[in-house]
Amino acid sequence: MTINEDSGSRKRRNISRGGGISRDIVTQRHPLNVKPSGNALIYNDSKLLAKKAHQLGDLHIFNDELLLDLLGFIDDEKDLKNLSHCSKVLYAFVYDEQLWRSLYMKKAFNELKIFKTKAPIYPLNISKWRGSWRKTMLGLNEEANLQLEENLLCSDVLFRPYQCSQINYKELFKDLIFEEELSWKLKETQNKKYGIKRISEDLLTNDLFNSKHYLKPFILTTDNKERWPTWTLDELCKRFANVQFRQEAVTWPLNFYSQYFAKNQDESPLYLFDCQSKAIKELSNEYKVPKIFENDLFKLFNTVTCRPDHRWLIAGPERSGSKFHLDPNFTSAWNANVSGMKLWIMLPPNIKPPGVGTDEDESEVTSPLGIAEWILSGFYNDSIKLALDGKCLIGITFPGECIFVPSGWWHSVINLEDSIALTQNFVPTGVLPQVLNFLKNKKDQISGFHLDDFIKSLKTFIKENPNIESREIFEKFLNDIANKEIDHEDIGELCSDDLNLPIYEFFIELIKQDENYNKILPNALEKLKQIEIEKLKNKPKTIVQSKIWDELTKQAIKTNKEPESAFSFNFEESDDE
Amino acid sequence: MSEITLTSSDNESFKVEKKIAERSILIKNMIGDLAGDDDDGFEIPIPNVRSTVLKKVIEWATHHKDTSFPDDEDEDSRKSAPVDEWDKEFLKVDQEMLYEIILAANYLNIRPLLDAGCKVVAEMIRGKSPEEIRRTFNIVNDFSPEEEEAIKRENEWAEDR
Repeated sequence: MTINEDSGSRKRRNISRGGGISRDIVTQRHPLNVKPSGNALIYNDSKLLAKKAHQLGDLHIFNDELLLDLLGFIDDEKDLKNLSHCSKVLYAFVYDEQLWRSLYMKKAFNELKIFKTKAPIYPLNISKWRGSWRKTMLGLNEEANLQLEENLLCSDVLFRPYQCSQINYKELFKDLIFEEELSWKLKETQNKKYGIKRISEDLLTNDLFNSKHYLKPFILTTDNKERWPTWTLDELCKRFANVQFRQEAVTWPLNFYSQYFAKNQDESPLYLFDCQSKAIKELSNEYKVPKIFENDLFKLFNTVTCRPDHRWLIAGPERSGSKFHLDPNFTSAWNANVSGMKLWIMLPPNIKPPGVGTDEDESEVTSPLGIAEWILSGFYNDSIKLALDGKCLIGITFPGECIFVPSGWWHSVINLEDSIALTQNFVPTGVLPQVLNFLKNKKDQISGFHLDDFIKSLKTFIKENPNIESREIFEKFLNDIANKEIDHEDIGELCSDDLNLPIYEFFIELIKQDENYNKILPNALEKLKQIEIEKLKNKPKTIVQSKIWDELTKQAIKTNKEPESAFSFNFEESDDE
Repeated sequence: MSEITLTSSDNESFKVEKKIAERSILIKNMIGDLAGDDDDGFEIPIPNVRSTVLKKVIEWATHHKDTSFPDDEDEDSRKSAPVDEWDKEFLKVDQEMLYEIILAANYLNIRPLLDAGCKVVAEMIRGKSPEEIRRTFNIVNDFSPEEEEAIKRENEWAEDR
């Protein structure tokens, strides 16, 4: 429960939890004076309740969450505006930024679906960002900002997103920032417990990286101030004002995104993540990939021009970032900070991130919380506990630093200030067995390949190499797909029962043909076999375990026993694998 | 074919084919968690739905027992799909009943029925002025003259983009 105190007088205690942050924060007043739900318990005034009921009319029957859900079905901004002009409580409900953002996204998406390449460059012909989604969609320079009486509307559904949008990361993480800033200047990470090691780019050789360092994150440092570009968004905007970039679900000219970037109240601001624009092609000539990351097995797909998207320009305002994820196709990545500070929370492959649910195969990831909510709910502090136990690394990268993200590591990234970065996915030789395993045994999770490119390059490949081992498989695939409609959409997670892309087989053939990489293939295939055997060995156990579980739960219900006591004995032996 | 018994808040019981009852994810999960293999005759109390409303919900579920709906997660297609013609007729009820059906669908976790109900309410707002919306939903206008003025200005500010 959060109690909102207008005085702001509550002193923050600096709780020392080995790096944990104090979540006991005082939040700014909501612009319309909405209060957190907790206030209703204290200021339970029947007159206020009646007033709220009057202002909602029949809609009072719905709880806040359901009402907000219902408002999400209104698909015209004028209807939303008129509803908001019915009463102050409704004004406050319809003030919710997520509501307007969703409406914008929905309409922009439909527009693109209908008009395709003829859709306007500025979606919905809105070329001016006015500081909030509501203002932008209604074309308002100013708003009525109707003020609610104290505690007339106490609602976390409305208050919490605003609270999250006001989170002050620099204040929240000031101790960590202090320590990491020093580490950046000294080029040596001060936090020996769970910091991310800093290594000079000059000292890390190819052999060292590929034998020892490819399994754990590190940050490359440099003395050369011109090692990496130093673009800011303003500078990029001067060069590429009208070039369209992709921000999650929308494509905008950069000058629109830069207006949005400068001022918005989103809980999770849109993050520019672009691999296709004209700009990235031009910009990629303005930096050099670190030598140790040049050794990249996926370059083999380059030579046959069907490599998945792998090179990205990233821009995000303070508070934007990525929730916990694994990089696609079991690739590793590097990420160079051009401007701004980024906070990294990274966990090794066998450790599940706090606050995130995954199924056994890690194909479905559910992370219901936005980044700010994740932190305010205490999951950052849980990560610190894991980190103190050696199961998580935490650090901040600064301009000119380049972090390495090993394959299979869960990571979440938070922009502590406005930030620009470059990133590339790649496959170092050390992880070849795992990547082969992914391409062979997790087909449904393969992503990023473009189907049309893949088919074209496979056809050429067969023509040029008629005597390959997998020829039959390739021809069968090309036969199967002959009657399907193909576009340039990337495969997403497209491998399914009726579309089985022989990516694994193609990759193997490409490695065989490469005179450097073909030497490591036999060893990698041997390791792949071991991975597959391990997986098989583990499988029957889980089936047995769940049968036992089913039996015991049934018994527990039938005999009306406390379920915990009934099946606790069996847990110990199956749990510690 | 097993039958489930659903009991309304006012203690009326309805025997329902399991497949129909399982249109409600809440009920489906309860059957899965509690009923065991022999679920015939399993009884579930529905303490916050009146019998007249529960009857309507069962009518809907019976009609839609074989319908395949878009994925719950796929918000875009869920929200933009037009209301099914049968549903439209089905939801031509007085406003109070409509609201109660929405509440029941929310409680019982029947996403497609909830969506249809919400769309009908959204339709009731479409194209209406604030005064007309107030009349539709019995909303009391208690803006002060200054607030009325501020609202008026907001309308005037809404310039051409």
